[in-house]
Amino acid sequence: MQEIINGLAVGGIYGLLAVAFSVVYGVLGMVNFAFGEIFMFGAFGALVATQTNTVIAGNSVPGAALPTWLAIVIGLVVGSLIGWLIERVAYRPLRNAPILSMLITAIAVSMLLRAVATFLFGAAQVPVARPELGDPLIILGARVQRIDLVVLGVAVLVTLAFWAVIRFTPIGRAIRATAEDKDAARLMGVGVDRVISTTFVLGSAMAAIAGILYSQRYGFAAATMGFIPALKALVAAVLGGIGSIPGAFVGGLVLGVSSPRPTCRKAPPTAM
Amino acid sequence: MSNTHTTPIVILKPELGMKRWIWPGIFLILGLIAPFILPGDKWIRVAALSLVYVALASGLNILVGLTGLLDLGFIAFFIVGAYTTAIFTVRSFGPVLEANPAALMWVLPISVVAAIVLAGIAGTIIGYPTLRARGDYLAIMTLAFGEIVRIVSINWTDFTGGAVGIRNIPPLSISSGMVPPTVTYFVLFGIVVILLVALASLIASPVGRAWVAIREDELVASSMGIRTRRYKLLAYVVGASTAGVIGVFFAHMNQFVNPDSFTLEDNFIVLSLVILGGAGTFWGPITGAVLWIFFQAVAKDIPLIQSHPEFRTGFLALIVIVLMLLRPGGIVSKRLELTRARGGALPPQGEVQPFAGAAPKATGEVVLAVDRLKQVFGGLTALESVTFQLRHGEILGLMGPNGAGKSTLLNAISGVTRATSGTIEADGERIEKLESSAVSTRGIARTFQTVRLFWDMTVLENLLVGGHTRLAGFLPKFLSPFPFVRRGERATVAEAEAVLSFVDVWEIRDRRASSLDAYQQRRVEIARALMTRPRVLLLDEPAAGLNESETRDLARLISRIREQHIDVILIEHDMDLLMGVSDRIVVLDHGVIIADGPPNEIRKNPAVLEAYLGSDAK
Repeated sequence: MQEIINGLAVGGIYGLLAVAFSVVYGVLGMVNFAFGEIFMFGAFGALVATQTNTVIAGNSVPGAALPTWLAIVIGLVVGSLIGWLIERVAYRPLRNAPILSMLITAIAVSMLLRAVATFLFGAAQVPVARPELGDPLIILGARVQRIDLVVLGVAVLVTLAFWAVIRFTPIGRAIRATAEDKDAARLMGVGVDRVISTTFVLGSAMAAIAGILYSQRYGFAAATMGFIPALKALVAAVLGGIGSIPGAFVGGLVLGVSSPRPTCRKAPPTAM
Repeated sequence: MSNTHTTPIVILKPELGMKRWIWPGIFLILGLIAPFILPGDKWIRVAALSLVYVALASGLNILVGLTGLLDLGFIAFFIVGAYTTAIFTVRSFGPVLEANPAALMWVLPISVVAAIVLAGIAGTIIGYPTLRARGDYLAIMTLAFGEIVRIVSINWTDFTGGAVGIRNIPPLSISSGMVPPTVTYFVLFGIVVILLVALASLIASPVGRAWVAIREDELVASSMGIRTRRYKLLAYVVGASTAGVIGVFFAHMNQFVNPDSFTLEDNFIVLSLVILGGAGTFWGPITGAVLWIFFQAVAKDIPLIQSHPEFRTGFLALIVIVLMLLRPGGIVSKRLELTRARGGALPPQGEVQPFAGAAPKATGEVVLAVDRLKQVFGGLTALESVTFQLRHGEILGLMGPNGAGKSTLLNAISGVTRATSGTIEADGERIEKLESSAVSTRGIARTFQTVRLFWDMTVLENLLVGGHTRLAGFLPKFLSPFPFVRRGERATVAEAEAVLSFVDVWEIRDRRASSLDAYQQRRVEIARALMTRPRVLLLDEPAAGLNESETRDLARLISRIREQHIDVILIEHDMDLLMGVSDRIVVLDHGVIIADGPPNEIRKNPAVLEAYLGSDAK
């Protein structure tokens, strides 16, 4: 039981990231490898905002010491902004290029972001103060960390909200139309470029939230933290049928539960 | 033969032999003098490392550049090679080598062969499931595979030494004691030259052309008789073996291997070097690798980069992004040489070689029989039940309003799509379940409604792809650079020139396909189809986009094709052309044949008139 709840919490994180991969894939037909790095930047954005003192590029910088909720918003904004920027600068000019060029660019963007993060925050793990939520709960005889419930709850709520946006709002309809047929959508008056931008921003926000949850749960942030979760989320997205939101999320949950002893994973290997 | 062109045609001379040697010459000279002009041993080691990356980038270029398959786990094959030789020379033959260092002379070749075999197997393993996958799934699968190999190398402690790795790998020398880096360098240089010569020979052979054809247009490649899955797998095996071989020498150069010698980043670096230099060119990846390794060595001495090693990959990533936006072709834009044979200086007699697979037919005998063919796409029935026959010596016109199912019928015959039910027989053999490469080897060739040439190849290379099945054969023979193994290639070039002459485009044989005008493109496409030595030629709207005089010329060409004992099925909207050249016309409407007869009967057939003009047009 304990294992399952642990797994579900980790799975929720993978699920969020998987949804981001899945939606962007649906609209653009490409795997945006950089989501792993947006995930990382989201975590760092929130981290820097909460701290009183941060070491950036070797210099000590006075931090904002903002309350947690505001820090989360900032992490989210940072992630979305980066997502918007890379779509605008790196991907949009390649809209009609072969899929291979887009994939290679995506990998390069991901490497570049990782290098930038290593420069800013160093190669080592940066500890994150985990929120004090009180003692573990006993559910059905299992000790469950409260943070796991929060993570799972947030992941489910965010995914539901995102699904509702896609399903019921005009922009959601435009996204679905673009995913189905770009040219037809354009002919129907959908601003395809704007829709793709929006999708990227939404996806990046999801990835950033996932990153924030991850850093809160494991108590660290690191420049390389995004790689393994991104790989797993990709697998989850494929598992759930790439392009489908509920499929991707459930895929993430399944992967989280089936991963061996997620609580014992201290950190992803640093040598990459 | 009349020439319909008003503009003067420049007859291109076959390329001068000397020009080909510029790049190899530069490479050889620089490579040979490098150890003598570089200051100090440290730089000779850098040069040796750059050779390792030259081989790696060239190997990956086979996959990414030529065949268009992304591999994000390429380093895995390199790891396999390095560990293979480490285990061989330290574990298996360690005592022998210790007693007698000269034994490396025969142990090393064994390692190399083992590395080729094992890396080749690894290539097959990763290549096989990815054959059906799209580009992005492929990327994920190869990425995961690379990780698996790395994790295995860390955790299979008994075999690989775990995180410590394997030490004391003998250096590349037959005597004991210190080995000067110059010796190591020259051994590596020799190996890399051999690898490059082998790869260049392979690229300028049917194999290389098949790879590029697959990248350019897989469907067309298949319709030329190329078994596309097999060639994709072959690309993996060749790329993997190249990486495996150089992995062996890398291990001996470093004298140790451990999992830290290869990181995930190396995959990206090698990929970047291919892109940086120019994917799909021969000298691009080589240039990229040399430039990068030397740049990296220089950068190591800059204090800022010393304190921030991440700048190096970050910088490379930035270059790749900028290149992708501004110059996706990379630094070197020298076109890939896909054949070494040169044509003659004079146009040959325009003749087409006959199909060799079966006995010649008597006029009127059935060549192709379609029986109750049905094709359903989802809820749409494109072909209801189509039955007709093509007899030897005739041109069969196929007409019908838009959406009648003409192209669907052609696709079903040529194996592009598989019919839902019904049979297709060619010369008594059932072909409805065959793939399009197999249909092609049964003597059925086709053209496409919109011209589909291999745009990046020359006209002659396009035709050589058409002659693929006659040239393909035992792979290792294409690895050798010697001309005598390529007699078949020269004969096929002569045949290609004859066919080009037959369709009257011989003069433009060295031009790139994308630079031709519409009618030239059409004729090259027909010529390429004729190069498969077909018995039956399927032409899908060949006159689309042609002007009147070109259409008249095309009609003459089609008649001349029949004179070469090739039977033609012609789909056409141009009624003058269709009625003019066809001996018999089959009219299709809504997936059903509504008329079948000679042109003058069809012209008066009330059902045909109704289909085309509506019921009131009497």
